[in-house]
Amino acid sequence: MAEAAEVALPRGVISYNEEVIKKFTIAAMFWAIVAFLVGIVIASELCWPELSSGIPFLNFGRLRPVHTSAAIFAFGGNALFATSFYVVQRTCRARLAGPDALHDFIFWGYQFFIVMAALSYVMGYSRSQEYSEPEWHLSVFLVVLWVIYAGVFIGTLLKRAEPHIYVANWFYLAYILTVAVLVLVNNAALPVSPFAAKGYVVYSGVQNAMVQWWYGHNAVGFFLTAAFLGMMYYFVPKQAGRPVYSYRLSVVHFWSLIFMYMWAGPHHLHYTALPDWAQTLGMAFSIMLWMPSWGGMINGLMTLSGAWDKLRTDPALRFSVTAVGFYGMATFEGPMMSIREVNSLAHYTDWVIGHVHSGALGWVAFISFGAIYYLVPALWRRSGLWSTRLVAWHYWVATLGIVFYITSMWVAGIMQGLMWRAYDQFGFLQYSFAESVEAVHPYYIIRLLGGVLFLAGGLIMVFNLIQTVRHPSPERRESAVPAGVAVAGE
Amino acid sequence: MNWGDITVGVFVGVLGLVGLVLAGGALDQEIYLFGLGLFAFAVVFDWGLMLKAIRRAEAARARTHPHG
Amino acid sequence: MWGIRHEIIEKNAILLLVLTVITIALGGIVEIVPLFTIETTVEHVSGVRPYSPLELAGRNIYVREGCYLCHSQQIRTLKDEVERYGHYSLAAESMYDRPFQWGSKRIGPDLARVGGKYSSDWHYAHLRHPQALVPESLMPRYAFLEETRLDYDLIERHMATQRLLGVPYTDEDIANARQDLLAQANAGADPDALVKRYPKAVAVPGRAGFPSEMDALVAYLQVLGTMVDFADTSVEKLQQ
Repeated sequence: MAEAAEVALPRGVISYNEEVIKKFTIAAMFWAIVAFLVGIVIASELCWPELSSGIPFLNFGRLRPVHTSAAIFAFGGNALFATSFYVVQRTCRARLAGPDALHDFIFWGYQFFIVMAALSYVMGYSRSQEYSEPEWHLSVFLVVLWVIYAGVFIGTLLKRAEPHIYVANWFYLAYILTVAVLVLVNNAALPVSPFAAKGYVVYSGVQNAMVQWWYGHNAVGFFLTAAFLGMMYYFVPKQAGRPVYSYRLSVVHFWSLIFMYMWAGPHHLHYTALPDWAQTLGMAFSIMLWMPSWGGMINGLMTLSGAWDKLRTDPALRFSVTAVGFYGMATFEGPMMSIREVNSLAHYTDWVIGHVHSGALGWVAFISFGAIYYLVPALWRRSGLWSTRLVAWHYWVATLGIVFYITSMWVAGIMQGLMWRAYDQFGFLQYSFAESVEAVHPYYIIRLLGGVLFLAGGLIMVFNLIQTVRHPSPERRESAVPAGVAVAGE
Repeated sequence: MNWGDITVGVFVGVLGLVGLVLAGGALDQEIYLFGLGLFAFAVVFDWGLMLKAIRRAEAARARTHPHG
Repeated sequence: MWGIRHEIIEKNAILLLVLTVITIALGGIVEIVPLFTIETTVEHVSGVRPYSPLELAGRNIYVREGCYLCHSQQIRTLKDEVERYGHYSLAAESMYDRPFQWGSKRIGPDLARVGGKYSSDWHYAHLRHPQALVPESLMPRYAFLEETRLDYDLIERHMATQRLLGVPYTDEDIANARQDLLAQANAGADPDALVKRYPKAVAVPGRAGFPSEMDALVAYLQVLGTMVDFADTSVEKLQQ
């Protein structure tokens, strides 16, 4: 990459590190496509199991963690690095702390981690703990990377020129700190040898289960929720051209959200050997969690008041706003599924998968798409996206994909749950397990179609973004500024 | 002398050495691959840092000596 | 009015950081720590023992292949579940499991008490080609496990590491690890020493002297859910 000639900037003008943000944005879109593709492969394997043909590194058990890691950590993670670095610099009016080489290390080191982790699963090395599969050597590397990330983010906050820390940064900070705590605790393990990629986790049995789902639910709560709320709090007001609806609401829902989420883990363990008191605590907090979550949804949606007409003209804003809507839906469904009696039907079924994907596709992916559609023209100094019609196409194709996905999984999941507990007129269990597998086959095909549509939407987006970068739009930006320089009022 | 870049370069270099040691004593394929990968990563990353430093020095020289 | 107080936090990054860490730490502490201190979290039943070397090797194969992604190992305290799979799972039964394999999804049936339900020959045939025995099955083929020689070079180190973490392997167990492993992977061998150290261990019909990964996996599957004798427990012992 050609080094920009060093230009003496006028006094008081800040030069932001945007090169690293560009890299993270490109990486986010690349891994998004990979994640969607691997998802389609494994969804196909659940329709036609002979697809893996007995080849070890192609089967469902080895590929599923590749899909979940690619979606959460590769796509989601890169989007969070990109946006957290963009937001913290601009809202602090300070360049990213530390030398540029350090930021480049975070970028390339993270891509290295992603590739190594995926290869390890496929080669048959996994801790078998969900969203925490990387073996000890990769966990150590991630911790090193994460400490550096925390240092850069916090360092930028400390050198800020703007006295107030903007709300988006509270959420980004909370996610960075919490993920550090979660990984350090859940991944604590003793390697068999420093030269072997196998470690034994320090906890066992029921304690391991509790720690894992304290981790697992908060991977969702902080990596996939709090962090993306940070994204929402910057990009929705920016795209709408309106301030955040309520400062007071943001204070209340921030503290209550980060407090309550940490208790929700046991709802993954209802009716198991986890003691009842823990299950009840988890359920109670999971239900209460509905309130701070909807606080965030209300704050995001009401920010549009006075600007709803923008939804007609700005398809990228549609993604962000729809994302907040799905967020509300998923954070209502979650508390419902946390109720023990509801959970007795839902646990182990595809309803859980439907719930995961309404959150992952509807909230996480859509809010990321909205932010990236905003970021790419801003970072590459284009007056707009190459084609707003393609954004609209992406929106409708992807939304249709989500609808197919979640409805097929609702039907499949509830059907499984009901079949497993059905008794015939003689008082015997009515269905064999195999019969429940056969019954959901058509819904697995519909789910596959949903995923294909979502991928198609993603490819439309990638094409549009490539064209945006390669072709400057006919209208030029008002003031031509050198790369990396802040625009007044940003 | 860009001390920030040098510090990062040394740190990554150390990581590369760790990778080499791991690969050398590896008891399974995964540690071997990870160790080699880490070493290769360090080599390429530090080479990139050095290239940037050289280009920076050349650009600075071009400004003070416009006619070579 | 309290808005002014929050402004203090917003203008101080370190204060924001410290308060955040305190806030997020509470839930985990309250829900995790008592599970180690409340003694009855793990029920006072007898029979649960560490895995034999071959079972441990098989379990590690189960873990790395991601079997937990489709198969749960946790029978819930629900009537239909107990009827379909057997006695609900106790915390004691997975007390030495690192990592736990309770699972979170059933694309295939629960395996908590699969031990002894099918013959070893059935397991070999099913792992080679699941659809031959269960046409509706979505399980991939695992014939490659039979063609892969079991690598048990580090088995003593595995057991020693687990012992460091609290699993009660004795010096005798570790010293005899290889003999026990080979004895269990060969149905023709003398099982006395093995069964003395690991009651209810099941020998599998492997090729003498060349245990495969499939031998290990089947040995593991055949012990699942068999350790605790439920006829021999009481309601008090099962209370948490």
